[in-house]
Amino acid sequence: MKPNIALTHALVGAGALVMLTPFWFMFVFATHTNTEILSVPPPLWFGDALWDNLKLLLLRLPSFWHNLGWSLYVALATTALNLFFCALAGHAFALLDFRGRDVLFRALMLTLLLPAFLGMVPTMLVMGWLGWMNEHRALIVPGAVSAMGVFMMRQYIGAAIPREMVEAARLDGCSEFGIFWRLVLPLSWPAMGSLALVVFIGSWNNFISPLIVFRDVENFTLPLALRSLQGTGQTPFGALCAGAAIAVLPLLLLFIVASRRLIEGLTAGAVKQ
Amino acid sequence: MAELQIRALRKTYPGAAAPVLQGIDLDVAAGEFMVFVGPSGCGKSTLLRAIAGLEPVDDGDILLDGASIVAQPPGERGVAMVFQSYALYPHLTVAANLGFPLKMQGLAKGEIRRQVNEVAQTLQIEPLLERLPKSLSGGQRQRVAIGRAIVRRPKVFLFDEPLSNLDAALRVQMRLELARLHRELGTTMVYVTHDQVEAMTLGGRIAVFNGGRLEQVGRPLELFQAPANVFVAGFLGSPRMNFFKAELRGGALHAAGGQLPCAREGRALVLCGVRPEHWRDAEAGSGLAVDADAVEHLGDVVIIHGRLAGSGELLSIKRAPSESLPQVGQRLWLQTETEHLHLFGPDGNILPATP
Repeated sequence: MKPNIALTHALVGAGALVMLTPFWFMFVFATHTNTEILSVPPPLWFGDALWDNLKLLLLRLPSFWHNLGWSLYVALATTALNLFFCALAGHAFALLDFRGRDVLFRALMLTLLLPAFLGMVPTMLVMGWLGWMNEHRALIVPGAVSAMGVFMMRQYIGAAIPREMVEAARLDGCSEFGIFWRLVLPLSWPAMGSLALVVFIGSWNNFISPLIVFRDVENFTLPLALRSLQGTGQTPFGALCAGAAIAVLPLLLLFIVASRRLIEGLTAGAVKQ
Repeated sequence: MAELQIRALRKTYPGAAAPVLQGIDLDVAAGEFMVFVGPSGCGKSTLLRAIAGLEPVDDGDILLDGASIVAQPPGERGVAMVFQSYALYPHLTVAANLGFPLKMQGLAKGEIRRQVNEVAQTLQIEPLLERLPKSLSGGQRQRVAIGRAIVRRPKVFLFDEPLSNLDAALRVQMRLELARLHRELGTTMVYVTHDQVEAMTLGGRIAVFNGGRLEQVGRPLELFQAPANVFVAGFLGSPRMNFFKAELRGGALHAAGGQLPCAREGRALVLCGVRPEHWRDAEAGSGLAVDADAVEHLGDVVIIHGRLAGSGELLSIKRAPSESLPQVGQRLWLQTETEHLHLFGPDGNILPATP
C-alpha cells in the first residue's frame, strides 16, 4: 500500500506541534505578566514584560546565577567522569580478555532492566552515610558511570577499533592504559560525543536526585531552584518561565550545534550499518 | 640477528576438537628467512602470533638466542611484526607511526626524529612523513608498517601475510623489496603465507604446516624435488602433483592405465606422484594411457587435463605451446624417468629409495 504523503506530513506536523507548543508558551509567557498569563485565552505572542519578569526572578530567587553555575558544574563534571569511566569500561569489555568478562557484562546489562527510581533510595542512603548530603558530589559520583554508557562505548570500540592495531601497540611496548589513552580514546570521539550530549542533557534536566540531596537553596541546581519559586503565595509564572527559558538556552544551543551527533547517539545500534 | 628455537609447542583453542598446534619443534637459524606455509587453519599464523606473544600457549617453549621468551609480554620479546592489515595508527601521521615504538621506549624527540628519518630514507617514504595513513596507497601503507617494525631494531621480524591485500603487480614488487631488505638488514625473519610462489621465492627455508603439525622443513627446491609426504608433494607446485594408485612389482609400476618402468626393487601398493611438467610422450601402447578432457592455454604454458584410462584418476600435463597438443577426447601415452617418480606408502609418507 503506497504511503499517503499528505497524511504522513499531517501526523508528523501534529506531533511536532504537540511537542513544541509548551516551549513556545514558555518563551511567550516569559514576556507577560501573571495577569496576562492567567487570562483566557492566554497570550499567543510576545509581550513587553520580560525585563520585569527577570527582575522578579532575581528578587524571588537571589541565588539564581549560583544555581545556574551549580547546574553547569554538576553537568560538566558528570559528563567528564562518564566519558572517562564508560570509555574505560567499554574498552575493557571490548578489547581485553579476562575471566568473568562476559558474566560481568551481562550483570551490568541486567541493571538496565531496573527502573531508575529503584536505585535512588539505596544510593541516597549511601550518600547520607558518607556525609555527602547537601553536597554536589552526591549527584556527581553516583552519576559518574552508567550501564547504558558502558554498553554504548563497548559496542562502538568493539566495532571501530581494529584488534590488530591494538596488538601492534602491544608489540610496540605500549601499556594497556597507554593503548586506551593514546589510541582508543582518540579514535572513539564520535561515540564519546554522542554519549557526552546524552549525559549532559540528562544531568542538566535532573530534578529528583537534587530534590533528595539538597536542603539549601544556594546549593540547588536550576530545575530545583525554579521549582522553589512555587511556594507559599502566588506563583510568579512569568518569572518562572523566564528562568526556565534561560535554563533551556544552553540545551537549545547544544542541539543546534550538535543535533546530528545527538540523534546518532540516541539511535545507536537501532539501525544496522 | 638471533636464533629462534621452538620446542614442543602446543595450543588448543577453548572448545576446539583438535589442537591448533600439535607439539611443534622448529629451529630458525640466526639471519635466516624462514617461511611458514600451509592451507588456511593449519596453525601457521597461530604459531607466528605465539612467537610474538599475542597468543598464549598451553605447553612448550620459545627461545630467542637461547633465552626463553614464552612468559614475556609482547613488547619485551625483541620481536617486531608486520600485519596483513598493516595495523597502522589511523590518527597519527606516518612520522608519528614510525616513531611510536621509540616514544614507548622513552627516547628523546630529537633521537626519534633522527631514527624515523633514517628508516624513511631506507624505505623511500620521506615524502609521506606528514601524511595520514588514510591518504596512502596499499603499498605505501605496507612500507610504513615495515618501517615501524624496522625502527625497533628487533632480533626477529615476523610477517603475517603482509602482501595478501596487495594487487598482483605490487605483490611482485614488494616481494623483491622484502628480499632486498633481508639482504641489507641480515635480521632473522619469519614469514607466514599461504601463497606458494612467495614461499618458494622468499624462503631460505620453508616450513610446511598442515592441521597443526609440521609436515616438512627444508630449502624450497628440496621440498619441491623431494617432498616427504603426499601433503607437501601436493601443496607445492602448480598445477599440483599428479597422484595415482599403482603396484610396484618387478621393476615397474603397474597402474590402471598401463605401466611405467621404475628402477626400484620391492613389491608394494603405492600412491605414485608425478609432476605435470615431468610427463613425456611414449609410444602408443607403452606407458600410461590418459584420455584428454580439457586443454587450457595460459599463454606461456599449456595445461592438459585428463583421466587415467581404467581408473579415471585425474592427471594434468604441462607442456610448452610449441609442443604437440592433443585434441579433447584424444588418448595420450605418457612416460617419465624414475627420478621423477615419487612413491608414497599407505601412511602418505615417501617410501625410502632402498627398502
